[in-house]
Amino acid sequence: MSSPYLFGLALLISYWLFKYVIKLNMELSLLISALLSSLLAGLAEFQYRWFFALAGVTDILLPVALGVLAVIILDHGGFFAGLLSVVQEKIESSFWQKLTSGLVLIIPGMLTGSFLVSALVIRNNFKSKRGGLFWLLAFIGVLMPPINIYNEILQRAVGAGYGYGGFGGEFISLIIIGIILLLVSSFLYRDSSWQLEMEPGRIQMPISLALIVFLGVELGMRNWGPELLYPQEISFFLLVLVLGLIYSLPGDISGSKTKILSQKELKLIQHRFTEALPYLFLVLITGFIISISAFTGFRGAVLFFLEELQLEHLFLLALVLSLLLSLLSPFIALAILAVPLLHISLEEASLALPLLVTLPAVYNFIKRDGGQEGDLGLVKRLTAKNILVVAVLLIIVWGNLLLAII
Amino acid sequence: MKKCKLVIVIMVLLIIWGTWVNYQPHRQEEIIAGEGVTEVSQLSDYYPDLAGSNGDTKIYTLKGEDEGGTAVILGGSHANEIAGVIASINVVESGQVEAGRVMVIPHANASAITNRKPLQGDPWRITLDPEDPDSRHIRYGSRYTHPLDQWPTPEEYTHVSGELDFPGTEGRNLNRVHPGQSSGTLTEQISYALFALLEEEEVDMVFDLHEAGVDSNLPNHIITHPESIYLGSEVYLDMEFAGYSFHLEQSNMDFRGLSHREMGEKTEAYAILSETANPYQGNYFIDSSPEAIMSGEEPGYQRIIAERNVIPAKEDLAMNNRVAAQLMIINQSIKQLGSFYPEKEINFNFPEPEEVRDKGVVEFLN
Repeated sequence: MSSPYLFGLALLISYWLFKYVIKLNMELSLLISALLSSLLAGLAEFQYRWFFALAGVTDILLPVALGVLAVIILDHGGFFAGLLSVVQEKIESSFWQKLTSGLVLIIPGMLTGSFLVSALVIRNNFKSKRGGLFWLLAFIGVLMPPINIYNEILQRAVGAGYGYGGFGGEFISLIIIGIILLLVSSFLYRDSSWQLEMEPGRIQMPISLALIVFLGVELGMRNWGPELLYPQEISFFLLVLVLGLIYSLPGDISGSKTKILSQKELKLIQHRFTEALPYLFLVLITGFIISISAFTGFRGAVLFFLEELQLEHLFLLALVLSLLLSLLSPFIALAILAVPLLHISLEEASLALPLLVTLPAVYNFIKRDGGQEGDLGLVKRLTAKNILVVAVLLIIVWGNLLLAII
Repeated sequence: MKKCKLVIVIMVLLIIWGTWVNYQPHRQEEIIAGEGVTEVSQLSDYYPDLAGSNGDTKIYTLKGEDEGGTAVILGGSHANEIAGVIASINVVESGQVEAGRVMVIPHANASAITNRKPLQGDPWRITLDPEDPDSRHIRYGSRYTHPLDQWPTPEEYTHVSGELDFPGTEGRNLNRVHPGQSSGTLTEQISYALFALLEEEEVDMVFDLHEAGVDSNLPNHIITHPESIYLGSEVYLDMEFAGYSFHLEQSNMDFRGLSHREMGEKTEAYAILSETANPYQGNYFIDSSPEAIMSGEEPGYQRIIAERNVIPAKEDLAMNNRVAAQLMIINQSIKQLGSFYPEKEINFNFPEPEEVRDKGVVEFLN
């Protein structure tokens, strides 16, 4: 067996061993299995050059870490809490309010869907079906322009972001799909487990003002700001930091005991950041696996295999893989599947495939805990309602496929 | 909490390791100038603002005792298109010029040599003699200027002519930003300096040495500006007679930013771009061992060639043959320049392509 296939096999077996037999957590299991399998695949000619192939992955640390930290600070400053509380309130009420609040979440530039959901990810750790819904919307938000930190992270971390989507037919289609999913799921789920913890004594600034300030400054810096000599992520982070501090002010003005960057606040931020570390780690390891896959030739072998499939079989396989990989992690599923699938079939069905790779997110939504770390009990939770949600997406995907083939 | 501490420790170790690894490609590439090199200058001599930046790069001049024309060889416009880099280093380390002048820039985009495409699994250097780990290594870079040298990367890059928009990353691609501008980005400034060089030195012929993935339609191509196509067709025929199967194309004048299109239009030089086939420039390779990199016996791309009936032959993927093809294009083009314009004849003695094929590129390095 040549090394690419050996690598793929070793990766799967060693992951299973570390995760389910030795019972390490997912991140460590992935890291160890990736390193072990690359060693195994290259035993005959192992040199340190293998590790140099991974070096590009370290570039992701800066944007990812700063992105997450920015979200934490904004969140702590009350920015997201205010926005989310409005959305949360509206989404539980009438049809039109569901619709408008949904649009706030998925419309482009919305800071954007994915950015907002990043806050949810850190805040709520996917502990509800509603959290799962927003995770799904995050993936749809990834497809949308223009201010999208999550897409930036995906691009740099795993090369699987979607870039600038534009305002054409695909954008309109995605808006419609997003609204359908939002409405269907919000009617199906009325769980109250998703609660925002508002800090006592903190007065929120009007959310509309927050939106205007943030969008205005961000767009202004992009279009009319000075040419920056330091990385874009840092400038973005500084902006967020300033806004976070500004939004901390009302609490202090109102006489709250909370002080800007008090010891308590620093500890809170530190705590939130520690919570986010596993996500950073997961991103890093995913990048490792992709790099090793490329260097060992496993990616090339997969591409050859996929390319020889007929388009219909390709979609079927993608569907199955989506399901299997989503049990591992929807993020990894998206990252690993998106690259080869988009590479091969972008021209044939440009809308269908990005949608198809959101399927893991759908399953994440279905899962009770909606967690990063799936388990094999998924099938047991496939209720009629859940199947309905998936069916809606499948109809859209396969309908698009049908159009592509015709 | 223990898990968190473990994660933090591992991440710190990874960052330390990553920093060390990332440092390696930033070391200077070692080029040992041969006896034929009469002067070593800097690109910043033509645009002083480049001095001290990561875009500045060395120019090796081989000047003959007799008068003649001037040719410029650009290797490493895309630093991962490695055969062009090696061919230009071969000329610097083994070439001789008796009449006229040849100026060689092995790393036209010096910043790109310090960069690598993330997640591609690209090596930071390649070993020219796989059987001898201590043998000469050549840096393997990226298509793009290092992002840290050119922040921020916009969502869209508009060519200086205003006629064409590219994705933002292409603003870091030297072969999309020509003719550049003095007040522009680092990549545009590099381009601007190159154009200043072509003008000040009254260059008669300029080569931009490239490679392309086997699954693209570019390998084994010679592309010239329409005004150079007649000379190009002579070179094409010479190549055919010598057993090199290449295609000849002329610039698409609507596609702005390419070296052959812009240099051919804005300077007096014959502008020629060469493309050989790099089996590691794409997603399909399944063997990245040093032996496969040098021999070109990469199963994935050999398979593509067999199945798709693409232009390069299997043997065209071998590094020695790719470098030989690049040298063949240079040699035949300069000879044709002399036959077109005797007063611009450049009498030179570069590594012979046949010898490079037979003996290997290492033989022509110091």
